Amino acid sequence: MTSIIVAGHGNFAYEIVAIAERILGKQKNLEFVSVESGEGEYTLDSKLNEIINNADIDDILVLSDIFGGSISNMCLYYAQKRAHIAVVTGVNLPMLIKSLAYRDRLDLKGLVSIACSGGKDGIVDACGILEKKD
Amino acid sequence: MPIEFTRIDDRLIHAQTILGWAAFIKPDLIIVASNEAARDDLRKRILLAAGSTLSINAPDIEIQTLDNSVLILKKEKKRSILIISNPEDAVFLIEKGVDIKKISVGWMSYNYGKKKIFDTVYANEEDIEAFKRLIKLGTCLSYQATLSDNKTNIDENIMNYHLRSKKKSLKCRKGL
Repeated sequence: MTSIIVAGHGNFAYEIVAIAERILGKQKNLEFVSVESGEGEYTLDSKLNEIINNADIDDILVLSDIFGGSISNMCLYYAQKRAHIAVVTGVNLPMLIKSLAYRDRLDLKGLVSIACSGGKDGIVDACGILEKKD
Repeated sequence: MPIEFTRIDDRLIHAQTILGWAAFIKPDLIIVASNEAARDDLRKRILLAAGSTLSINAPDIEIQTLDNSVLILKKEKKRSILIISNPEDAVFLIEKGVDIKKISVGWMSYNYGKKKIFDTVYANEEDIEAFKRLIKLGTCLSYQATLSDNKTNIDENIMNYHLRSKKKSLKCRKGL
């Protein structure tokens, strides 16, 4: 099973993981990394290393908050230097839930594509959908 | 050589520098002067992708070594934002003749042996000496975490205070 790590600024990653678990129930191999103000590469690297070294993991999918943000930049740098780690940015609740739902039946590449489509599908002009059905 | 704004932030290009500072100042060029970033191809590609994806006014973005930055900044005609990682690099650029009058200090990440001098700024003794050198060179230094935060003027007293307390804490640790 692919491990999922959510990485984000402030309490974002902690909260989104907690909410996903409130919806789906407690998940195995689901971790979060919160980077606080003042923390940098040194902290993020050691947090990721700790999660990765402690878990019995094959592949890892990192979902981070915003493409181009410092945390995504650091995750991408970290992942590119290692095998079996993918990074998808712009994490939202639909992306996280869909990734969790599909991770035991897809390989890392397939999961990346589900994370991307799941995240995008969750972004909807909700009022517009109702209008179309009228 | 109109450097509109100089920022110390060792994350270099990321959401805050691009969506905060650059969106506010609207420069034509963002120049990152950092030997580490310029010589690390992977980091450079990530930072350039970050900059072009996040930026709103599509400024040119360059990541250059300190030496190249000196050459570029001395003849640059575009309104520019200069981003550097640490005060040592600022001292280097100024002593090579780059005209930097003011520096906004925003973010220096924690690393082993660094001490917190502001909420988002960790410095070692060399950094503090470099800040003092900048003040001696007549550079106006201020600490400002984000665009909407208040500016704190950085003077020699603040740096001397941190230098003294750092030496003291080192002595304590050695049992002296």
